[in-house]
Amino acid sequence: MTYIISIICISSSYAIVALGLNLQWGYTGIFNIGVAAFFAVGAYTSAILTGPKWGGMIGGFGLPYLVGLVGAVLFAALLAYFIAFILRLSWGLLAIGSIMLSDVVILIFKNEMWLTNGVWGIGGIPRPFGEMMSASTSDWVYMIISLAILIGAYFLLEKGVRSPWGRTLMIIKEDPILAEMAGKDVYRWSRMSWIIGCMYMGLGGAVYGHYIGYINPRSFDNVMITFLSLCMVVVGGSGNNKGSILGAYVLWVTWTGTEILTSYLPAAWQLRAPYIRVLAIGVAIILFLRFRPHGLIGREVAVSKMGEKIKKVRVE
Amino acid sequence: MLKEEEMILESDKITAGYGGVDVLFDASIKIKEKGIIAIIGPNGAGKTTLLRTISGVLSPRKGEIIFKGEKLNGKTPRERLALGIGYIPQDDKIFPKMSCIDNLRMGAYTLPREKFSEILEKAYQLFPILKEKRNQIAGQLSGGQRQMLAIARALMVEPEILLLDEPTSGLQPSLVKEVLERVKELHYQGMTILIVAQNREALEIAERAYLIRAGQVVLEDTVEGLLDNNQVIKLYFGG
Amino acid sequence: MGGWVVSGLVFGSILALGALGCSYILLMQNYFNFTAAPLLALGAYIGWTIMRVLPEWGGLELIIAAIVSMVTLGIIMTATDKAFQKPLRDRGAPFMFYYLTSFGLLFVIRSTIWLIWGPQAKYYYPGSSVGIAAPWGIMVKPAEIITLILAVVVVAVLYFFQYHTKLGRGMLATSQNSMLASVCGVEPETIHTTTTMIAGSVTALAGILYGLNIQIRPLMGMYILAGIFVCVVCGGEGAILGTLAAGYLVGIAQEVGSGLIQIPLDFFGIPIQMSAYKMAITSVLFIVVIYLKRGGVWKGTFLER
Repeated sequence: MTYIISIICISSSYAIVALGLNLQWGYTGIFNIGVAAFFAVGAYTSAILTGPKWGGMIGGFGLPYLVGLVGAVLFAALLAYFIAFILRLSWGLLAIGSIMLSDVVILIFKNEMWLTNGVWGIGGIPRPFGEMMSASTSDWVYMIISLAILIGAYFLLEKGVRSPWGRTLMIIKEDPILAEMAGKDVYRWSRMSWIIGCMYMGLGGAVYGHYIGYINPRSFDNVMITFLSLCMVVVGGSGNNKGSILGAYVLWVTWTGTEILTSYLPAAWQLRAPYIRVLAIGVAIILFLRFRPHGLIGREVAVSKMGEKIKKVRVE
Repeated sequence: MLKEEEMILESDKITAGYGGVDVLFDASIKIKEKGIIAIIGPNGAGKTTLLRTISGVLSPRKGEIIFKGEKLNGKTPRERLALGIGYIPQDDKIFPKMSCIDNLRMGAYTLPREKFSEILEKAYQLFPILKEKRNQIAGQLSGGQRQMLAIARALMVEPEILLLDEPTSGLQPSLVKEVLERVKELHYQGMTILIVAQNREALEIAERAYLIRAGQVVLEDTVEGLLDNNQVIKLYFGG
Repeated sequence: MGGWVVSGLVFGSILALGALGCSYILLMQNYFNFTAAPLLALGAYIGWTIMRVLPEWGGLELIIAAIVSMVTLGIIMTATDKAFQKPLRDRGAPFMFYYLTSFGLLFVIRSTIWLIWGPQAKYYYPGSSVGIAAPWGIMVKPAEIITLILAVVVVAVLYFFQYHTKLGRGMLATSQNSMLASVCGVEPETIHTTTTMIAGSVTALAGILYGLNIQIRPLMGMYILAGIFVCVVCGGEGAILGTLAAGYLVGIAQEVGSGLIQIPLDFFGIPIQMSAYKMAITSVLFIVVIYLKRGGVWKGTFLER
C-alpha cells in the first residue's frame, strides 16, 4: 500500500512539474532543458525554510509548510527571471544554456555547505501536521495534500490557458510575427510564461522534498529529471494539460516498475540494475518518439483548432 | 506523330499546400514546346506553389505534373533536373556565401567535371558580368547581378524548360529590361519558358498567360487578349 | 608557463575535434547533438577494447584501434540517425523531438557503456609516460605530440574535403540553401549520411585522444561538453578552421587561467586546487560567451572559413 501512496505522491510532484513544462513548451513554444534546477531550487528552498538545521548551514527556521511552498515558488521565479535575463529566451541559446546553467546551480547546492549542508543533504523535512500523527497516517494525509495541490495547480492553469491570456500565448507560439504586428510584445509574454512554468517546477520540487523527507544534491540528477519531465509532457501529448498529468503518472509508474522488475534479477546483476533501467527507459522513449509522437492523448482539440485558424490567416 | 501543339509540360488538377493547409486548388495549365507562358496573379495566390510542385521541391496533395509525356509524381528534384527542368526560385535563388563561380559549379553539380569549363564559357558569354565578378561572394552582388547568376546557374545543365519565379521583382527598370531581354534570347534559342510575372513588361514577353487567384486558375488567354481586358490591367498592373 | 600552453593546445585539440562533430550536426541537422558526450566515450572504449586484442606493435596498434573506432562510430551514428532522426526529418517534427531523441540515445549509450565496461578508469598505456624535451625547456609527452599532429591533420583533411570536393561543396550548398541545393541535384540523404559519418569519426577520435592524454571513464564526455559548446559557438558554427582556433583558445584559457589563478592561491595558502576547477573555468567562459553572443559581439567570425 505504501507503494501506491509513494507513487501517487511522487507522480503528483512530477505532474506539477510537467504542467509547468507543458505551459512553456506546449503553449508557448519555449524549450527548457534546465528543469532539474528549478525542481532542486524548490525542494531546497522549502527544506531550508521549514526544516531543521544541519551542520553549518543556515536554516532551522521551522516555518510552516505553506511558507515553504511559497518560498519555493518565489525562489524558482527569481532564478527563472535571472536566466531569462542572461539567455534572452532565444531558443537555441536556451536549449543549451539551460542545461549548463542548471548544472551550475546543482553544483552550487553540492558545494555550498553553509547553504545546503553540501553533499550531506537536508534531512527531516517536515510534513504538514507531521508531529500530530503517526508515520503511516501522515503518509495518507500527504497523499491527499499532494493530490490537492496538483488539482489546484491544474485548475489554475486550465483557467489561465482558456482565458484571453492563454489565447495570446497560443498566437505567440503559432505565429510570432503575427503577434508582433498585433502589438504584443512577444518577449515579455514568453518570459511571463517561462517564469510561471518555472514556478510550477519549484512547487513540484517542494512537494517532492516534503514527501521524501531527505534531499541531497545527488537526488537531483540533472539530465534524468529534465529528461523524464520532457518525456512526461511528450508522452501525454504536448499542449494538453491532462496529458501532462497522465504522462507524469505513466512515466513514473513505468520508472518504478522497472525498479521492481530488476529486483527479480539474480544478485550478481543487482549492481547493474540502475543502468539496465536507464537503458530500458531510453530505448522506450526513443521508440515512442519514433512511432507515437503525438502522445497518448494528443494535442488538445481546442488548441489545435486555434492553431489551424491561425495558419489559415497567415497564408492568406 | 506530332500533335498540332505538342505539350511539353502540363499540370493536371494540382492541389498543394503547406502544413496541412492547401493554397492551390485543382490548378491545370499547359505549355507547348518552345512556348513562353506567363502566370500572373496577386500575392499569395499560389503561383510560387505551382512552380514548386513542378520542380519537385513540394509534393502536391492531389494531381499530376506531366513533362514530355512522363508523370513526375514521386520524382526527386534531381530526377526532374535530369529530365530537363530548370528552376529559378524567387527568394533564395543563389548560394549567398559562395563565390559566383562556385555558384555556377553547383549548377553543374550533376555534370562530369570536364563539361564544367565549356559550359562555364557559354555562361560567361551570355552574362559577361559574371566572368568579371567570378570570385566575388554572391551575397554581395546587386539585385540584377544576382538574378543573372541565378539564371546562369540553372542554365549550366542546359535544361529544356526554365521555370522563372518573378525574375524582375525588386529590380530597377533598366535591369528589368536587361533580364527580360536575356529571357527572350533564351526563348529564341529554343527554350520553353514559364515565367511568373508581377509586372506588365514580363507579361509582354509571353505568348499566353494564366491568371491565378486565391489558388485557382481563373483565366487563360493570349497575352494580347489579357492586355485588352481592362479589369485585368486595373487589378494587376495598376493601369 | 610554456607547459601550460602546450597542455592548453592539447586539450584544445580534443575540444576542437569534439566541437567539429557537434558543429556538423548543428549546421546540417539543426540541433545540438548531446549524444556526442557518450559517443565520445564510446569511441574511447572501443579503441581501448581493440588495443587489448592487438599485440604491441610499437604504436601501430593505437592507429589501427583508432581507425576501427572512428569507422565504427561513424556507422553507429549514421545508423541511429537513419533509424531515429530521419523519420523526424521526414515528418517535419518540431526541434524538441530531435533533442529528446538525442537525450534518449544519450542514456542508452551511456548505460550500455556502464554495463559493458564498468565504472573503473581505463588507460591506453598504463603507467606514466616519459616526457620528451622540446624547445624552451618544455617537456612534451608523446601522447601530446600525437594529439597536436592528428588534430591538425584531421582539420586539414576536412578542410580540403569541404572546399575542394563535389560532395563537400554539396554540403556547403545544403547548409546555405537546402532547397536550391536539391534543385541543383544534391541528394539530401546522401548529405546527411556524410554528415553523420564525419561527425561520428571525428567524435571518436576526440574520445581516443582524451583517453590517451587523460583517462577513459564512462562520463568523460560530459566533463568536456561545456568546452565543446563554447568551441562550437566561438568557432563560427561550422567554420572548420575557426573551430580549431577556438579550441586552442579555450584550451589555453583553461590551462593558463587555472595555472595563473593557482599562484595567488598558493601564495596566500588557500587550499584550493585549481586543477579540480578547470572545468569550471570553461563553464564561466561559456556563460560569458553566451552573454556576449546575444549582444552580437562574438569572436566567431574572424575565420569564416
